[in-house]
Amino acid sequence: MADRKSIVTAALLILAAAQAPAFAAGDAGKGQGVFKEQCAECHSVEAGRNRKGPSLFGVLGRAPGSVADYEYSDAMKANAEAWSEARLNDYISHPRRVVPGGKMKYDGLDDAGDRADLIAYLATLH
Amino acid sequence: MSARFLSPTLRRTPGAGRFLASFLGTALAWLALAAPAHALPSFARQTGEECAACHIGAFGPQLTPHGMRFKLEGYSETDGKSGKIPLSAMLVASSGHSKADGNSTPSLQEASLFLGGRLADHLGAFVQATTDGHAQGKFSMDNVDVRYARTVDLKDGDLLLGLSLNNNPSVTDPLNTAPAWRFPYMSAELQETPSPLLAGGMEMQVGGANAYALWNNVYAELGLYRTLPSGFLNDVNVDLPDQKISGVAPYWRLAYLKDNHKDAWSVGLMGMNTKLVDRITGGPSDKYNDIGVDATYTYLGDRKNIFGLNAAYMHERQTLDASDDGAKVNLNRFDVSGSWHYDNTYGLTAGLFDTSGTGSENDSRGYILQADWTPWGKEGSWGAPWANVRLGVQYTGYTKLGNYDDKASDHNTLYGFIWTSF
Ligand code: HEC
Repeated sequence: MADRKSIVTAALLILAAAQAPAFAAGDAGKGQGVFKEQCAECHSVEAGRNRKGPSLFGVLGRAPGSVADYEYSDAMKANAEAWSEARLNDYISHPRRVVPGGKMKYDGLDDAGDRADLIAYLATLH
Repeated sequence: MSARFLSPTLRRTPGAGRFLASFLGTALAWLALAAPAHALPSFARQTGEECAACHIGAFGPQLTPHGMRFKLEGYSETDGKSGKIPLSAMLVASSGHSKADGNSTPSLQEASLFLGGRLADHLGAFVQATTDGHAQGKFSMDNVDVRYARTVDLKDGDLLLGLSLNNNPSVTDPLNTAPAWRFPYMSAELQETPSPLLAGGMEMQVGGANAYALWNNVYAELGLYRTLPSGFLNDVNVDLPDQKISGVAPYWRLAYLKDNHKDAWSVGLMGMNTKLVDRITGGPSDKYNDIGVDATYTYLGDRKNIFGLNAAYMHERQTLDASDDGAKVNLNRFDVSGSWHYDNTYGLTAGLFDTSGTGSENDSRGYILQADWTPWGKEGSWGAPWANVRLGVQYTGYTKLGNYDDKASDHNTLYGFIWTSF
């Protein structure tokens, strides 16, 4: 039993390790397509332009809930951890789980490759 | 958008060449007028979103899943900035040609004013007042849909609950298959083809109170309709119907909507049971039992190429105790359309309609082809988000028209329109 558990743990660790650098290696060009497909209806990438969600210009590295003229949920305002690549990856996978009570009505992007490309694209928005 | 206003008078003037020339002339004149107007479609202003976020092809009323959500949330979502005024306007100029009816001179087909958007938290309106070329500037009540909606956060996903007061069964529906909203979105509608009562037979003459819910992709709606009081209809310049609903007529809708962002699909059922009696004397009734099924598929991708497929079938059972000695009549109507939009700018749509039933007058069949150009309506496009315009050419071909004596194809109609909104 213990053996099987550790094999599973090891497999998960390997998977996690394989995924961790993936977003660094994402393709920003493809990521723009993913953005248009999944996010653009609610987010602009122009500074100062909010839609249903806040502008994602310069989102990488910024503090959550920090676009001045956007009305965030209390849950997002209370979320302290800055938007690193890893944190974005988590949030985009499971918005409701990572920021419970947040108001982003998005079920999550399942494909890890798409997320990596997307984050590479978000990193170019400065 | 309501059929009553879609019929330009066809006056006989010779030559299709002249028709084209005059159409282009008006097109340019309207463009020149529209360009500096810089007023702004109120939904885009309120949400900060481009027209293309909610509308396939960047022009109403064909909705994207995002647009459906905005409608169901009560037209009240905003970008959080205050000071938005929910007013819009729309102008349609058009011209048509058919062998049976000749040419129509290019003219203002309809003009509308809208109260469109958020009135308060969770409360929004889509209220249209329309005038056409023959009303001498007199506006009348068109589509009305006032909504209150709330979302309740449940553990996995949320529950959307809403109420609507409206004046046309299916005007509340989010899908592009709804009788009130399906292709063609703008047309000459020169030939009336048979339609179930639910599909436009009572528009503007009735008042409905509807409740709806969206949960786990399941949409359910129930509405109760009554004919509006004659005094009120007079006040809002709507023609009085000969018959009125006896009691209340229930309308119901059930649909499964799946939005994957990359694509979306839906399947649904819709029905209504209506008893109509003489508006003044009452007496025996005509019964209309309608039931319909519909399905949609939309491929959105990165929004460069958008494909849509919409199909709807409706069956109606009539028992005509009031108007035809208890005769029983069946009516079936099938509508299907496929569209392709490139860059939310160029659009091609093809549609088929087919009606059949008891009596040959109910047999009609035909097709509609449309090409259109929507230069604006995107973030960063010229004029956006101030004004939007669509130029379109539409050809309607009839292969069978059971309720007409002459050759069906003589009614084939070429129609051009310029549709602007501010
Ligand atoms: C249906 C609309 C919608 C979609 C689709 C959507 N978002 Fe959001 N997003 C929101 C809303 C609303 C918020 C504000 C959340 C809050 O305040 O709780 C938000 C917040 C965010 C934030 C936090 C921004 C900040 O300033 O703290 C990020 C990052 C984000 N979204 C990324 C994405 C990405 C990436 C996608 C595409 C995979 C996406 N969103 C898709 C509506 C959406």
